[in-house]
This record gives sequence, C-alpha cells and structure tokens, in this order.
Amino acid sequence: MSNLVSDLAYKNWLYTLKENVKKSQINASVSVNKELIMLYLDLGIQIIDKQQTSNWGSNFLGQLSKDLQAEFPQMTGFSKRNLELIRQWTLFYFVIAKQPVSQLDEPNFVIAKQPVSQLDEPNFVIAKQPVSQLDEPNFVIAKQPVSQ
Amino acid sequence: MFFNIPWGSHILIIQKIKNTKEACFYIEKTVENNWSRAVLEYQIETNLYKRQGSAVTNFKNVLPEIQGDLANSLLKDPYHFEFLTLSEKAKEKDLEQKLVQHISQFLLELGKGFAYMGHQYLLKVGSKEYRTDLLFYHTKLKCYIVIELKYQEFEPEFIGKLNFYISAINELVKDPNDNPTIGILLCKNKDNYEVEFALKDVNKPIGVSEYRYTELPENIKLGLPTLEQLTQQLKYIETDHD
Repeated sequence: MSNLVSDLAYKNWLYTLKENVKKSQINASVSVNKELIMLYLDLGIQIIDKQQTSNWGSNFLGQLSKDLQAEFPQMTGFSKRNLELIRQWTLFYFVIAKQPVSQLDEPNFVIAKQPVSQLDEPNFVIAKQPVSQLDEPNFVIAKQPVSQ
Repeated sequence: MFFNIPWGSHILIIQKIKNTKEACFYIEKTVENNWSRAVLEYQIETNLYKRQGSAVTNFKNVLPEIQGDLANSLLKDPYHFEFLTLSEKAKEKDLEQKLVQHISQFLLELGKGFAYMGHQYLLKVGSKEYRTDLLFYHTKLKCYIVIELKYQEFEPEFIGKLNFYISAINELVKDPNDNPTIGILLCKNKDNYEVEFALKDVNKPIGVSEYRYTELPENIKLGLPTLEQLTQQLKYIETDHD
C-alpha cells in the first residue's frame, strides 16, 4: 500500500466523510435538543394550567419534582428550581388563553395549539413575539405565518 | 429557532432579559451566529441589542452550523445526556419489576399452595412505612412467605432486611394460629444467583436464622419450590433480557 495519506483524492474523500459524520452528529443533537425543549414547553403549559385549574394548591411543584426525579433520577432538569424556571420561561414567551382567537386583540401572531397536553378544551397559545420556526406537528398556525 | 438553542442558553436569556422582543432577538442571534452560552452572555452584557438596534432580521431557517460554537454546545449539552441516558438505578428498577412478575407467576403456577397477598405489601412499623417485594400466604404450610428480590449481587444487608420483614409480619400481620413466617431472598446478578431462606428458629427466643435449602425442615421443603426450580427461574429471566 503506497502512502495513501498523501494521495489527494483520498484526502478529499476522507474530508467529506468526516464532514458527513459531523453533520450527522449535529443533526442528531439538534433533534435531541428540540425534543427536550418541546417537552419542557409542554410541561410548562401543563404546570401553569394545573396551577390555575386544579385544587392541589400552587405549591405542588415540590411534590412533582420529587416524583419525577424518583422516576428519572439522573435528570437535573426535573429539580424544583428547574421546574420553576420552566414555568417562568413558558410564561415569558407564551400566554395561554382559552378564548377563541378572534376575541383577543393581540397585535402579534397567534399559534393555535391542538391539545398537546391533556387539557380538556381547545386551547390557544399566543406567542408574544414572532418565535419563528414553530412548524412542529404539534402546532397549527392560526393567523399570520410565523416565518418561512 | 426557539427549539434550536440549548436549555442553558434559554435560562440565561430569561434571567437577564425582561423584554420578550429583546429575548427573541438573542435567540435568533444565537442560532445565526452559532454562539456558545459564554458568547451569548458576553453579547448580553455588552448590550448587543441596544447597539445593533432591534432591526428585523431575515427569519431564515437557520440550523446550527457544523463548525460553530453552538454546535459544540449542543453536542456536549449535559441536559441531553441525562435526558437520554437510562441511569443504572432506573435499569435496575425495571429489571426488578420483571423479576417480581416472573417469580409471582412461577409460584402461583407451581401448585404447592402459594396464595398471592400482594406486591409492595405495606408494613407500618412505628411511624415508618416499608414495602415487601412480594407477600404470599401458603395454604398448606399455613404461614406467610415474604420474598425479597434483588437484581444485584448478594449483600449481607439484604438478609437483614428480610429478617426485619419476617419479624414485622410475625408481629403485625400473622394470626396467632399461623405458623412462623418464612422468608426467601433471591439475588440475581449476571451469572450469579443466590437463594437464601430465613425463618424463625424455634430454638432461639428471638431472632431468625438463615438456612440453605438443604437445611430446611422436610415439611417446609415440600411446600416450597426446589432449589433447582428457583435457580432455573432466575436463569430463565436472564435469557429473557439478552
């Protein structure tokens, strides 16, 4: 075998293979991240809803954290602090309204969300700003287009 | 884009930025410019938003590039790792569940008189609550049989726990007419199995003795599965998982 490493054709091919591996890795990690953030958003919406509609008191996050961590002990994302951050974050970007779109006079666009969580009646989630790229199967765009 | 930045960056943004429009600006910039969390923090500290103005950007469908810092952040994101990793503890719990179901079924089908009392049977001792893996009542031996299952290598403390349950059941659950409770400990770890029996020693005023199968009184042996049967079951569960 001659010195393959110095063969230009081989070098180029090797380079493209390495780039393919990296692309794959990135795609995979982007997917994982997307799943995680969507999970958190759904969790945030459900937490907010339960705080308003259930009779569990508003401090059930402590219990929830304990129970989730018992099932998923390695996930720091279910610490009480993080659950509170998830809630805060959800409230920061979204408003959960239960009226039909037309009755709200938000200047921004509206994302109508099919019951992603087990909320009983149809819910509407309004982003306060164009959040963009919300073309996930869970979201149905009700008003203006979100983005390209 | 909202879903394309790491959770760590999301937290940073909502902790530092109070205005949603400004926050969205930083989300976009993170993805467009492939910022790591550290760079994002720097840009926030130096108030990029004010400096650049809230210019409407072209909301392209931008994904993190291969070379950027953001890409590296995503690859190394510890939240991802723990999200996807099934921890050792969870794996063990899962296997123990399977072991419990399997052994229950085996004993019931054995036809020697095992009557199922419960899984995770609650015992209240003082102010604390304990749960035994499995509790049976043996209709021929007229005693309770408590079973502890461990998907781990044998540890002496397991026998201690079993003895504790035996005593608790003798004190709190069994009827005066019942015979003393028998305990069985099954440990399974890869190629090793350990089967231990324990019951109250009539020669000791208090305390429980451990027995190997061969040392058990004959009448009790008759009511129980043989050692071969028990180890066969444990072996069987293993091939289930390969």
